[in-house]
Amino acid sequence: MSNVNISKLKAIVGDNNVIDSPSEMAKYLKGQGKPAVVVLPGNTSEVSNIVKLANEQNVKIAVGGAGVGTKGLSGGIAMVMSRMNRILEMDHLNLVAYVEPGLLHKEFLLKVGEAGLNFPPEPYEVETSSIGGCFSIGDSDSKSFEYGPTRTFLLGFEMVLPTGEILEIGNKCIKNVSGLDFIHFAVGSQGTFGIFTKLLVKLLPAQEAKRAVIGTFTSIHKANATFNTLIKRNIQPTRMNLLNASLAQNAIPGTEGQLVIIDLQGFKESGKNIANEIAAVLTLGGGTDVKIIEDEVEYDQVVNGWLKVRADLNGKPERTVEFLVGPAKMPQALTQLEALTGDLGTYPGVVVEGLLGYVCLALPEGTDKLALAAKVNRLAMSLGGNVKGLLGHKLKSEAYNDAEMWQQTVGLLQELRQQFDPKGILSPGVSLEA
Amino acid sequence: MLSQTVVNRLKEIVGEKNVVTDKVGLLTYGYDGTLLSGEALGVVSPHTTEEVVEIVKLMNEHNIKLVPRGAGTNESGGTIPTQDSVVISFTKMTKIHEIDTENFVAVVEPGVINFDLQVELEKQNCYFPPDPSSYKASTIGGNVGECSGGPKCFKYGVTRDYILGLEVVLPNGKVIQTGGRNFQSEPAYDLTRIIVGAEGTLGLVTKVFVRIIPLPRAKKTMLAIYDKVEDASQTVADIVAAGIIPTTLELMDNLLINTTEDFSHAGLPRDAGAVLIIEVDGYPEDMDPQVKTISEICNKIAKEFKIAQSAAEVDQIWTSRRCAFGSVARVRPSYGVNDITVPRSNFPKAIQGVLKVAKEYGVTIGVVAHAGDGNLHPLVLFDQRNKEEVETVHAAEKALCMMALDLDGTVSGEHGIGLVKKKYLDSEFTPAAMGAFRKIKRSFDPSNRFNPGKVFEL
Amino acid sequence: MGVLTEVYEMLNTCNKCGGCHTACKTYKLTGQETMVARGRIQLIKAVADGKLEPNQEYEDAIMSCLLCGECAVACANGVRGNELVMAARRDLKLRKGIKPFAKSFALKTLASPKRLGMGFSLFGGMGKSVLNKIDGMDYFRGIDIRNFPTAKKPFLEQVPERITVQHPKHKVGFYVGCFLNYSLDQTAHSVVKVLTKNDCDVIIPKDQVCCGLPQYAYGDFETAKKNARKTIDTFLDKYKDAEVVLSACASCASMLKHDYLKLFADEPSYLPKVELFCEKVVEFSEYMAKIGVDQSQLYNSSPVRVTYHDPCHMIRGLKVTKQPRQLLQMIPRVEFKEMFEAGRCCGAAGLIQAFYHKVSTNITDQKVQNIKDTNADLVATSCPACMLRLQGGINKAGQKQKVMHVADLMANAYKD
Repeated sequence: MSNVNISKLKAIVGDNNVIDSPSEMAKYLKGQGKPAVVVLPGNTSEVSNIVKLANEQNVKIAVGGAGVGTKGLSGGIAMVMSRMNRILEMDHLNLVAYVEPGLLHKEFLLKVGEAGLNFPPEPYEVETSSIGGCFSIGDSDSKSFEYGPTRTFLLGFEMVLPTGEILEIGNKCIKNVSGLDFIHFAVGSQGTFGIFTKLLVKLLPAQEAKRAVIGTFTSIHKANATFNTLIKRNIQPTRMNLLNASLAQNAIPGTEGQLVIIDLQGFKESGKNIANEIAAVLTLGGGTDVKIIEDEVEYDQVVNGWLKVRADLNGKPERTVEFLVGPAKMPQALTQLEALTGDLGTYPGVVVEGLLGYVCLALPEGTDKLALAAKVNRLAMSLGGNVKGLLGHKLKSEAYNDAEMWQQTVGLLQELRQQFDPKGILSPGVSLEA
Repeated sequence: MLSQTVVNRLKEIVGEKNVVTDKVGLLTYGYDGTLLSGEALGVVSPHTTEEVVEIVKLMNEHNIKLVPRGAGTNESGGTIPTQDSVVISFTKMTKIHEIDTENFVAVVEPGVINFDLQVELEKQNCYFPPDPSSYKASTIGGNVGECSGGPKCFKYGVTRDYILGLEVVLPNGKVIQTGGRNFQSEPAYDLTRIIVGAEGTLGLVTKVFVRIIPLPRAKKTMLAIYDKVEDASQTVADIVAAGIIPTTLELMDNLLINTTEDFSHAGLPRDAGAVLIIEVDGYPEDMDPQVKTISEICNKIAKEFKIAQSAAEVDQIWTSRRCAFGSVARVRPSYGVNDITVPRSNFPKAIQGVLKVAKEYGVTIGVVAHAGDGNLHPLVLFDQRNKEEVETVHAAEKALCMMALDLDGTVSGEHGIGLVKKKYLDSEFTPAAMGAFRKIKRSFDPSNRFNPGKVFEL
Repeated sequence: MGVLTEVYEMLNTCNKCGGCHTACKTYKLTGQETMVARGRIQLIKAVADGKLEPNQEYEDAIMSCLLCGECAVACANGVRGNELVMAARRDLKLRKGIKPFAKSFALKTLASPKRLGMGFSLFGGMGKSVLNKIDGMDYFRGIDIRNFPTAKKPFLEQVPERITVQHPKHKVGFYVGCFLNYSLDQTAHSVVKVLTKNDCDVIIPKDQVCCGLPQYAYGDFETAKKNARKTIDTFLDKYKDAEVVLSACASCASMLKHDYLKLFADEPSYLPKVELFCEKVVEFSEYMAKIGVDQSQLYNSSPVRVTYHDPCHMIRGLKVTKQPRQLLQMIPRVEFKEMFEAGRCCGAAGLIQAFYHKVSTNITDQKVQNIKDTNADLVATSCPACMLRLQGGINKAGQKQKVMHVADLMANAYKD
């Protein structure tokens, strides 16, 4: 069934790093696809040789940090980057680091912290996210308002192209407009342009203050209203999130009601006053148990609680609908949303990222995601927003009755992919059609 | 020459007055901030996306190339027309569609002048952080095309970090929208990012969704004066090491101190080796500790350090910096602006390198720099009438670019490549990277009709 | 070409940075690169280099410049766009004389007192009665014709040559200028009143002529020089007891004080006399502030809000901005309110209002809006051309503000 030449693979990476027994393979794989082999390369030239081999034999490759999605990969090669997990250089003067893609996000964060530095992008999944995965997915997160989305933190990379050719680009300059901006364009391309083998990431000085304000609300609308008050008062904290009651308990066990988490990193001197102001706004807005957290252990618990909720939601994209309307339109969006979902307070999951005007809904069992997404998109569009991502773009084009725009966009995306990967070797599970 | 049919059709599309084909008109759309010039077949100024679409279709029918243009203030030759092209000037698309401060977004047409947008935003206590020195004249469309920087990049980043979405007319005449009003509305590949900085080679931007942010509540501007340029770069390293990210760390060397003084009379000491303008912003409570740290750092090596006490003093400090480019014309009539950027740790070496190039080639070079970003603008002075000197200057500029690449830097930090720096691209990028650029260009514009020959040859 | 060779150094210094874009009103309104200093300079350079033969489009680019001088202020390179345009106009004149006919007719008319007097009365008198019969002909190219004031008799014919006061402290030569002579004679009377109230003897030579600015601005240096020589000789020879030569028209004053020097730069034998003359020239507000006004004599019954428009020749030519504001604020119960962009051109710009009226009208409309935003009752200024232009624009917009010369406001504040 498969053309994969196991012995040639073993010759490239060594016997121990090629796994083809199904039971051994399982711990590296996600999803239903049945790749022929799992391979763990140790360096760039091994990656390149594997890709060249796949080209010769016309076999597909999918890549992952610790685990690989197997959609469309039957008979193909699952490439696990976990052996390429070194920090090659930590450059304090330039505030940058060279890392390998298989390095776990949580381990990198530890090292960065020890060095007195900061790497703001949040992990997609706390335990298993790798730095390579981080930029491959390239999302924004609830800290993006202050720090910018994930792509902001990539200054360059080494990549093995779908032909096996090695491409290096970027440098330690924080400003660089030379050539076309392939550096940032590659972020979020999910392995379709190539396989990251080295990443040059930007770092920041460590945040000297960590402070959070939390509070619970009986009404999700009242909780959300406090965000608008804060924005009107010209307060932009690091993070301003709302979890509905169903999710709140997962973040902070024992929480009752809708949970508001407001994160104030780095506001060294001003943080105290701002925290007091925020606490007052939350209390006046109907919050109970409003609490300013200054203890570092407790602060980390709160943030990790949030990251866990985020990871859970990210883990089941087929069961979530995400949309954006901007912060100011959020009260209307939530009210109108209840006509589609019923009471949001007890819905399986609602996350509001207040500064970004973003909502993530975790759907109840048996929900027709696409049907709901279409309705949510109409709602969001009436408020100047849309459902997130490619699906959102498609729905938006449909709503405009503008099939041409959708075709143009998809045509362009596919042409780009085709230009880089004419044989369709990489990331077979990634669809550019929504 | 454009055929009468094409001219008539263009006039039908945009109106008689918005088509230029006379020699005088063409002359004035043939140059930009560089020494280069060219003459197009015509200049057409559309008012709407629909008109742009019609123009693109018409040009495709007749196989004529299009060169997009904003205010024409770029320093890279990005808007110089080729002989077989029509210039599409966006200066008539100047509507600010919307300013939505509560959702942190503004929607503008590409011809809106950066400064005009800032004025409108400021009324609502907001701003758009990218403000290149040309911001009083340059358009948002031009800023998008070049991915312009400005003095605030150290903390706030460049234009690409403030573009949420674009409406783009593709080379085939079709319209797409990339991104949107919000942070996360990218469709799969981040098309917005590849179009920003592509200098109009991939698509014509007809609408821009820009990210706006509230004005900082507090700001402190400081001025440090040094005997030697090297001392100033030490301060930069020390400030970063202290964990402070200032908004701005602008450096001017002795030559620039003197030429700007001639124009602005800001009171900078003419015998100083360098000055550093340092600015921090944020919440008022966070200002004093930062200013204190910075003043301790500066006082160690600076010959003089002062904190601006009034808005007037802040203005005075900035006037010098803003007029830096032009002011050198008082020494020699022409100047070449370079845009080399190196990793911050190599900044002192880059300064040394500039001095070395000046000496080796016997040219006068003044330096303004965004020191925090490692971005230097060595201004090479000459007289364009002296052909021999022009040759020397070109050689010196090449040496500067090679020096930056040797220091692991880039030939352009914020001005773009255009025609001027195209020749260095193969030295900066590997064949694989150049190949990636060509794949991207071919995907958008297989017939090479949009701003052909800019950045790289297809 | 000689003229352009002289300014070539400056032409060459323009680095095309575009810094003049914001400063230039004609660019702001048209968005056309031929209508901004950078474009005009590059065209002039092309002509100087022999790469471009002057044609109609070139002439339009050169003639549509307001000469407001804002580009020169904005230019970090120190390129003075207005001077380069002047040189280009001179070059055009030398190449082929002044064309078209209308422009040349207008300039010739201005140059001769006799023809000028006829012109004003035609425009304001007979012309008005004809135009009144045509519907919609209230405004000719943005100029408010129906309300265009005309002196019944030229001011110079209304007053004696010497007006003396009881205890003279100063002796002032009054250069009246065409507008105050033929059109706004009331303002000329105001000037005399304020001067005499402040112990000045006033000398008003009957045989004074146009200062020559309009001809100078369009490159006809010969005529300009003729008038300049006449003016200089009149004041320095016939009325040499005048301590100063005072003008209440910013444009005239700027011409007399600065441009005469340039005009005679090629006549070293006459130049010392020009220098002597130029030193004596003083603008009205500047002079009053210098000699000091007795504030106790000023009276005003009702509160009034006043704003001030800086004429181009005042702010950038003479560089006088503080004095008129000080004088205005000396008048009791005046509430002074600064307008947005007070120093930007009103659109009159000499003959521009007649020949490039669309540009000019748009510029005026913006100015009128800025005036409206101040909620002022009165607009004061220091140039009769601005006064007429502004009043026309205000009337057209249906607004109520009255435009007055600083001298008028002051004169009204004296009881008798």
